[in-house]
Amino acid sequence: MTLPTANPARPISRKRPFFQRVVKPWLFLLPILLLNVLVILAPSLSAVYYAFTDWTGLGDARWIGLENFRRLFTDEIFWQAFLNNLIWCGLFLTVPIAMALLGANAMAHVRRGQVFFRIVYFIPYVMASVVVAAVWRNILNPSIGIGVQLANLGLPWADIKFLGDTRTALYSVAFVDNWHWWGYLLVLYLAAMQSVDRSLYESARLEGANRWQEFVHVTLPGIRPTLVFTLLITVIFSFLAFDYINILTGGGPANASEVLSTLIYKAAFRRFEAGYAAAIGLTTSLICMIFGTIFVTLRRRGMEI
Amino acid sequence: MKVSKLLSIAFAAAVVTGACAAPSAAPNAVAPQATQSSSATTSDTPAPAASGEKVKVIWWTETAVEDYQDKLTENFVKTFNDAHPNIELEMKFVDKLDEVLRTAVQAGAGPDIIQTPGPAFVAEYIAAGHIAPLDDYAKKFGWDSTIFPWAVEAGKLDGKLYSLPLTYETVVMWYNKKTLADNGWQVPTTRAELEKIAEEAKAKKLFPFVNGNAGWRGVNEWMVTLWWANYAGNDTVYKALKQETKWDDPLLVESITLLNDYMQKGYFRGSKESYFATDFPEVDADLASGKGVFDFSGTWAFQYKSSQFPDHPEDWEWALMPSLRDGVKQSFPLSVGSTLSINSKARNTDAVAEVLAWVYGDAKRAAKIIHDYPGEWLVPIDLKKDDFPADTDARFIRILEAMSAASKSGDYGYTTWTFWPQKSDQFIVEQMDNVFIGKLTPAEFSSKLQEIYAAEAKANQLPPIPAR
Repeated sequence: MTLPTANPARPISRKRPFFQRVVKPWLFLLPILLLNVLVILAPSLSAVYYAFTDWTGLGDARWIGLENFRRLFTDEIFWQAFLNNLIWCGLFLTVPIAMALLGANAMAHVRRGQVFFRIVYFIPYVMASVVVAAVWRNILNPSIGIGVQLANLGLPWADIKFLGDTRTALYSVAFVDNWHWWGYLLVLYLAAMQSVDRSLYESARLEGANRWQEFVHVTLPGIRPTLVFTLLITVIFSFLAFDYINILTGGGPANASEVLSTLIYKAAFRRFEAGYAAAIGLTTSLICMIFGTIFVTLRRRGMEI
Repeated sequence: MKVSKLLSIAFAAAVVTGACAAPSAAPNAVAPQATQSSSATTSDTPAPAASGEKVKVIWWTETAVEDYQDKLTENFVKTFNDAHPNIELEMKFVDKLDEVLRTAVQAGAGPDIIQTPGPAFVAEYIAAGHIAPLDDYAKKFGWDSTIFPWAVEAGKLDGKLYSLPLTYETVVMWYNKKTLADNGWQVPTTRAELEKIAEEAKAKKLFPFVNGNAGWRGVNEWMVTLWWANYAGNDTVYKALKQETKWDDPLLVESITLLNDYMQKGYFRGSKESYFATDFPEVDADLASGKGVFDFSGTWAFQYKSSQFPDHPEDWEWALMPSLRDGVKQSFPLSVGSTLSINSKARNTDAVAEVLAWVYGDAKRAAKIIHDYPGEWLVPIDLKKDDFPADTDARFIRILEAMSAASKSGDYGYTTWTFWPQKSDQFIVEQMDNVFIGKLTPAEFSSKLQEIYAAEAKANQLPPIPAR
């Protein structure tokens, strides 16, 4: 006796009615599409329009063509902010990624207590930025923070006003942001490393590879999609960085830690130049779009990323 | 049609309907994180009805600690509602009020009363047609004679009254009496005395001035306001405001130079780097502990004094900033700290005007509010000592009497956040840091300010300057 097979394979697309094939999926998609149009697409398009106006944020906007962009290219603070974004990007493409790769590689060999370390490293990422910033603001405080404490212990060179010195403000904020960010990357890389075929490592060892050679020739190629993805989001996030900078330095002192997003905020809400802020925002989006396009193009050309 | 198919269509339809309903709910998307309930907005305000329904008036105001919110509600909202059976005032305490309000008003969903951080902020609302003129109500309620003329004048544009001053402020020199006594210092009234104390304080490893601007870069403009007023003098500042002289006038440049010199000498917390990295809690703590000597800050600081000096509340005191140049009088730079206007979309402006009138209508009520919520609701009307509850801090009454006297005599100075147009004001806030780090010279700073100010003047964006 043969049991009836449950749901024998049916020819799916051709015999299903039009409603099932076309209308029904769109009905499910429609709500989220509408929501996206309302809260993302429409404001984005309106921001593109406002970038060409002198809108203050209140009342009507007057079309001024490319004036905001002309001003932007001669605005010293814009270039300072752009440079700071590039520095920020460079820092985040190297320091946290290197730390996370090394950390994940070390942890991949830990058999007991790995979950504990994962949690410990991940906790900063789920903490509210306001809380993290408040903690680090105290640690870096010029009167009671780590600098003055080290100086009291006989290390006068360590008495650095981290957030108040124009030479260190940006790097200090980047350090704090990195402190919360690298644990997230570590967990991503660890998960990716654990999916690398173990036989590749065994083969490498049989060939006499040491740990470093294993890491370079097996691990890195094995996690390349994850690695490239994190590089892409790092670049994009670097141009969107706002919260830690706004909380810790507000872009100061003397614009030393100003980035494009804090500049946009100040233009829109302090100087009431919403049109100019939209122009900076549009420029920032174009920069991010360039990196995104490079990523997509490389994928289309067959790169395994 | 199968049941599952029907369900899936119904589900999709329900979600689509929900999404489509979003625009009508959009005002809530910009509604503030109020600490009181209700999200009613102007559009919800019922008409004054013949049906006997109460007219609702919505007022969003700056957030405050819970105790102050309760007292404000008790002293103002409750007394108003009790006295006006046909009107229901609802006050909401809103974080980042200015930003939230701008978005809401632009979306047509703001409250009936538009409260801004100062006259410079009102101009944009007026230009956008969001604010109704108050001239008729001013006549009806006699605001011209009740409120100090300079403060009423600050709310006018092209001769029309658009905003009323909710609170007025000044910037003074706070100090710790014990610190001065322990070191044998007297309150300085001249530049020489101030600098002598500053040098001695430095030698004793004390901060001459405890101020820092990490918590609010706007601290820069408090300093600029004080240094202009007490070095260049109020008359010179007035002339520059009226464009009878320029911001790169030698006296005004020298004021900035002197401020910068003090910064370079380490009077402000030992170094500019410390000034840039220090927030208000440390400023307050250092003044209270005697680690620093003077704090240049505003009357809004009254609300923090009890928590700043919990063990020795008798130790804090205020004084006028010393004169920084021979022949220049010590004076009060006055400001309007918050303004009140009527939203042009308010459905019942008469009811809203009644609320505004309640702010200025009774000296004892205003004094009680000031007593309970010191620093932020200093209504600019002529308050006498007898108006205040008996247990009001004498130091507080003294400063209010002095501000009142300056208001009546016209012998006051000008704060940048009230009498300067927006872009010029922001330039001062943001660019003084560059003077302190040597990227801009005081002369360059002043010349650039002049350029911005002239451009704003040309665009008719200067706030009204009361005649001296």
